[in-house]
Amino acid sequence: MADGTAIERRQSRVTAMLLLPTTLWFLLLLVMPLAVVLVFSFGERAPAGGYEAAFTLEQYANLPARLTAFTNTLTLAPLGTALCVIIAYPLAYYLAVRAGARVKLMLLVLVIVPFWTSFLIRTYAWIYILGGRGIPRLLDMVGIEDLRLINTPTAVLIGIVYGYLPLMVFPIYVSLEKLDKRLLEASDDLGATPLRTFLQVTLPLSMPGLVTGSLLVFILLMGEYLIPALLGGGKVFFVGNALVDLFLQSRNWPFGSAVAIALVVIMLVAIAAYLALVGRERTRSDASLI
Amino acid sequence: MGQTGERGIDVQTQATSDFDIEFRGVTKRFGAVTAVQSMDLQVARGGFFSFLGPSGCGKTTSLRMIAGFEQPSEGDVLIEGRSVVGTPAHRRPVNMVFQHYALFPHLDVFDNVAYGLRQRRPRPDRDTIRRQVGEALELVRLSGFEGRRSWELSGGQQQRVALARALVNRPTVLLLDEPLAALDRKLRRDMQIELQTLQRDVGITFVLVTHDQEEALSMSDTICIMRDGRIVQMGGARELYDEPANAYVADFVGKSNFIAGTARAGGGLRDPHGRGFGGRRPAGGRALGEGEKAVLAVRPETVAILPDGAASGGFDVALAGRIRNRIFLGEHTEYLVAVEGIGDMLALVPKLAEEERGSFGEGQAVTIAWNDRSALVLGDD
Repeated sequence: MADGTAIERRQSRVTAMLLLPTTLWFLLLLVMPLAVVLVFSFGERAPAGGYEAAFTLEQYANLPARLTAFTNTLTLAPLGTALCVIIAYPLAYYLAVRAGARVKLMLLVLVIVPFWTSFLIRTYAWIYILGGRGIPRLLDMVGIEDLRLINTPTAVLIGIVYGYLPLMVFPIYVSLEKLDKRLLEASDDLGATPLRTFLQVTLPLSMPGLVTGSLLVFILLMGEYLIPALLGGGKVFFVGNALVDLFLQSRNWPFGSAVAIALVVIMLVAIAAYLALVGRERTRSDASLI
Repeated sequence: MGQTGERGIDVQTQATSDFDIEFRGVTKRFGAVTAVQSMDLQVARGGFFSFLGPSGCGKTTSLRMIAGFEQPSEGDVLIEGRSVVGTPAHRRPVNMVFQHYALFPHLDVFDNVAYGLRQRRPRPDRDTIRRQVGEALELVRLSGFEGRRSWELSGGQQQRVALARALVNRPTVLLLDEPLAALDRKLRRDMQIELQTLQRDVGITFVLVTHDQEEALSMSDTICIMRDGRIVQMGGARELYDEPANAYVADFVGKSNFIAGTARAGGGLRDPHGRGFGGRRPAGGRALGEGEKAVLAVRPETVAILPDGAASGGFDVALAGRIRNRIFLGEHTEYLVAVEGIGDMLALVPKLAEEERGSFGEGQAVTIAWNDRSALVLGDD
């Protein structure tokens, strides 16, 4: 008996040691900086820039000054996520359900290959593609004139879909891959048309992948900086661009902190709302629509 | 009922037919592999029909062609006298119980069973669905399990949900793909009885696919034995057991001792040592010419073991042998007896016979005996 408890004690000590790096990482790199930002957001800008200790809500009251950044982020991030879902789902479905082994491997490699070069370089390439000598010029040849792409919300959306599509494809692919194909036959056998089989079996069972992919893309998009900076030209900017501006250009740390905290709060609320919606949708389809 | 096996009859039926399922010259190829080879088949209405054969014999492909998951490469599949070639599964009046049940994991028992009803157009109203699902669950003795998820159920319960989910649609034919394979032995026995009872109660034609001969024999009215995409023999359990068409069937249905040799013109068989054995031809079996390769099949339960040197006791054949192995199985004992010039022969000795004649130990010299009427001369194909 004594041996048993000794082993148990040693096991729990090992567990604690294994958890230690994660805990330290979490505290040092996530909780602490966030706490610093929170404290900063109630402070004042020092005359020469940076932070001066104070307790004021002035920074928060000033948030509407950066409203455009918030509205851009809050429209283009959800829209980009939705576009990614719409484009990624058929691709993932094809990969998981329809494609033969060789085609599947080839397409999966093609989805991964872009990661082998820097995202920055690939986005620069899009500046050229969307710029005056790229697609607009080609369209000009077939008679569609004066189309501006670069530095528009469309350009930013194209960049978003291009950059984030793989992050959406993989979770959906994995959940569709796990889907038991016999369930589709069972649905067919029970009289469901292919469309109804998709809506009643395939889609509900791939929801976990769809939710994971959406959250992943949405969260990353909310903090996106590079794509709007390069493809949006100073015209279509996100909260991320505003933060860079506030911290590096105008050196207004307290206001930047307030903007950052506001972004975090909005994100948490949005995610909570999304999960609540998805959860309710699922329980309702579970309890079902007699 | 049970009137199948009448192959080669040209049935001129249109919308109505005495047969729920018919295959006319059905061939199914997957690339270079031919899974089913020009098959003709009729399944009578209201019976319990089984496809029996080893894996790869084409039985599952046949079932999937009835369900609509596969289309024949050649020939015609008819359900209730109507050709269903090209008709997708969701428009066929048949339902299937899948091998591993394929219950929808995101739905509870009620919704699983209600699934088929909800696909109907016009959709039945809420009360109708509730009542029919309730009846179906009652039929499989699962009332009160409506809210459970499939992973909360035992294998036998999942099996019953799968049955209810199919039966609630009142299909013309219920298809069962190795439905009992995933259950343990005891439960399998119970479910066999239950399936048989259920089939009689609902009166729906059941078509079963199995590789388990005991399962097929115990439940079906008609069994179709398949090999390499072809039908070898079709008939009732007793017919297949007592009158196997060839050595393959005799080996597949029950156990048999085989003595290889050639057919004799006057009946019986001559073994390679020139010994003659008496035996009858199975009813409906193919005629065998003098000298044609054949086997003598003797069921182990018709073989008696007598003490060495004892009077042959009126048996037609008595051979000297030695006990090689003995397995006690409760109600009977299985003896493996080495017989000179033949090899090992199996004998099932019931408890009663053992009490009368005594039991035998390994290595003991014995006489092994049977009657000509218990021996069948079969073509070796």
